[in-house]
Amino acid sequence: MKIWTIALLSVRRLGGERTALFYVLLLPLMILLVVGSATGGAGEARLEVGMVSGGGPLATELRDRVDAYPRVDVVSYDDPDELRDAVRRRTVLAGIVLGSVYDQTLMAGGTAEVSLIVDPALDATAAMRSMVSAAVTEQAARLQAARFASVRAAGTFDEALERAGTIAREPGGTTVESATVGAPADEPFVGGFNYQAPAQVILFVFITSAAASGMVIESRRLGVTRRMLATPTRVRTVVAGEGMGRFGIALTQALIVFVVSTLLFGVRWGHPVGAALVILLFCLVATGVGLLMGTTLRTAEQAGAIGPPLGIALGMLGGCMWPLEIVPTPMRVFGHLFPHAWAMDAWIGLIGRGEGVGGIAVELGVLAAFAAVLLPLSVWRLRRSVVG
Amino acid sequence: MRHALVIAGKDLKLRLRDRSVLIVAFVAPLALAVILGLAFGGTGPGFRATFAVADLDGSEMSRTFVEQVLGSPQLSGSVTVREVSGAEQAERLAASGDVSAAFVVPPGFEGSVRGGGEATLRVLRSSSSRVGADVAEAVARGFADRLNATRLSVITAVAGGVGEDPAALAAAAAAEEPPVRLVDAGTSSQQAGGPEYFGPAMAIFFLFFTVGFTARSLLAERESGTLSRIGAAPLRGWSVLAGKTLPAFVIGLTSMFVMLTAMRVMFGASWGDPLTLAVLTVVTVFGIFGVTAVVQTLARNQQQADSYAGIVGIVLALLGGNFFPIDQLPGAVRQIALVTPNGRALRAFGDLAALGGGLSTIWTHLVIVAGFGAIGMLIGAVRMRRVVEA
Repeated sequence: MKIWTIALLSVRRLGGERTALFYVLLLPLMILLVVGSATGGAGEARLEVGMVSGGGPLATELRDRVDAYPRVDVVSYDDPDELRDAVRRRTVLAGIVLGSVYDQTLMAGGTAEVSLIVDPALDATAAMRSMVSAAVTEQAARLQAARFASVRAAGTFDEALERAGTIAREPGGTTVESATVGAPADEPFVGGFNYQAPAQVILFVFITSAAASGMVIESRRLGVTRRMLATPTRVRTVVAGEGMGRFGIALTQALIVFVVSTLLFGVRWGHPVGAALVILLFCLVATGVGLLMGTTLRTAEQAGAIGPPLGIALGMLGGCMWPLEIVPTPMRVFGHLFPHAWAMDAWIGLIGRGEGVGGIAVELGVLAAFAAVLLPLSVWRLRRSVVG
Repeated sequence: MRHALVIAGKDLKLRLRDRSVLIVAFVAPLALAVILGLAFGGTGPGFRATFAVADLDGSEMSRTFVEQVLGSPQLSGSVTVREVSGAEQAERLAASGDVSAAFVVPPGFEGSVRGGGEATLRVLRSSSSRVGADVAEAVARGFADRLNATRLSVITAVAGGVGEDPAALAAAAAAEEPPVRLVDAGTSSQQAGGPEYFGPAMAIFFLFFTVGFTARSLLAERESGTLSRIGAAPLRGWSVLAGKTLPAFVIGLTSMFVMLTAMRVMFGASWGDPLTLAVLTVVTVFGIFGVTAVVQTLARNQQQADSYAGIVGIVLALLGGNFFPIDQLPGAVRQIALVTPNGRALRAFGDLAALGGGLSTIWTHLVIVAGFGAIGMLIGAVRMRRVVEA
């Protein structure tokens, strides 16, 4: 009974601080909102290309052709210098500049230049260049044909161009036949709320547990624990209560993000037992870390200073900020030294691949192992600090 | 002035004795910047693809496609070409997702093209690929359109009533140059996920926590009763304020300096002209200082001052792009970021690295960030004087 009283006290102390409400409730929500909508549905990055277009019908046609690629978006720019700056800032991956006299030059029989502003060092450059080049070649072929025909007295250039367009659409000549093969791929589980919500659970359970470890230090410094021992309460009870309190805080944080993101954004969590196990095991790991910090650090300020950066750093390493599949392999391997990466792998299994408990057994096992090492160690230290 | 320096020296010593300031000002921002630098140190939003090609024609034309189009220097950097012997194998590779797309050049391809008949280049898109398959199809279409150009010219001329001999027309058409030329205007772009971005981003984020202790230390002096004793000394209010302000600047500037130097040494980051960089660094610390000064004067005790500064810092950092490269976020988010002092400062660091140049490149950013600092300092100073003189 006393265990519960001591444990509940910790959770209520967290609720008692009004600013804690920001860190525990509002901050995860804000991050979810910003990151979730920024990466919403982004299976594979869209290629944004900027374009300064001359404005004539030929220039517009070229623009529409590039824009018609399924994963390419064309953004208009007025000034080539502005576009060049955008490429250098990587606001857009490439810039296409048609001179202001693009149409006039071509109509008058001259040679027009399309300049492509790209960074050769960038991987996406080859993709952009191929696509723009194909669009330019297609238009050039028609223009060439129209010019060829019209100088041989086959009507005006405009008429010839229209005729070339009609002929180009007819079957015949060299054609490209494209077909999609293979089973349709699942929607990639790398963006949007459905990745961010589980990631925020992991991130914030850890940060809150680490930052709230200052309470353990305060209880010790203010002599609360010593006074509890002066009452007819056994050491075991005090230690268990304090430990349960840490666990309660971790679980509260997890449930807050879980409930709010489910209600607001309709996040799916996969197999319910699997999801519950991931959350519980990670809360146990966080409890261990919170207790360890609470018994190792000397002041509550230190806990407040170390907790959030540590939590953010491990979150970054473990894939809570971005999917680990986009980082270089050594970083991915390094990340798996910490529990976050395993918890995220478990979520990817549960939600991304729709696995059950069996499918994420390895990840659950590793999380349990983390807990099995951290908890006894931290309880032992807590006991020493309570008795000592 | 001397009084201010004495107070500043004492505060700085006190501050450094508490080791948490070392963590917040140096260890944490550096560690996070290094992780970010390593995680995003690649060559940008990735496009890498492998294409399979089955050349069943073995002609001069099909070899041109395989060796000069697919093997062009422009593609070879990010596209790997795998030549296979049969169409089935090509299809299998695409279906399994081992390649993004497969090309099949059918037997008799060159003969059909040269003879003016129908020739078909097949592209098998792997369903698991997106951009890669788009690129493959674009490459094939570009090649086909080039082959078609002569034919299209001849047919258009004939259909328009030109009565010349088709063979002579074809020879003339083949000699024409395409009227549009694609020219590469190469430039170097700034890796938005790189150390030039995340170094300052992390340093600025932690500035909210490091420079925020001016008000906090005044509140602490008030709580412990030493403030009224300082008030009893023959000191002017401003020298107390200056003494309290200086340590925050010193630590904030040192923190920024260490970060910039570390990014330079570890990742070879560069922000161009050192003088401009120095000005920007000072203005940035000043700007963030102004914001925290106002926020902290709203607090009644130390703890409140800390958590208010923390909340404002985190919210501004989220909106300002300290955690994500703003330039790669949607337009609306980008606009919001430029309204925050940290987002502005960050844009200035990014512009210095990406666009080069000196003060002329970033002066608008500088003015805005300095404006935040000046207004914040003014409000903060007026409110703080009340604390000092009360």
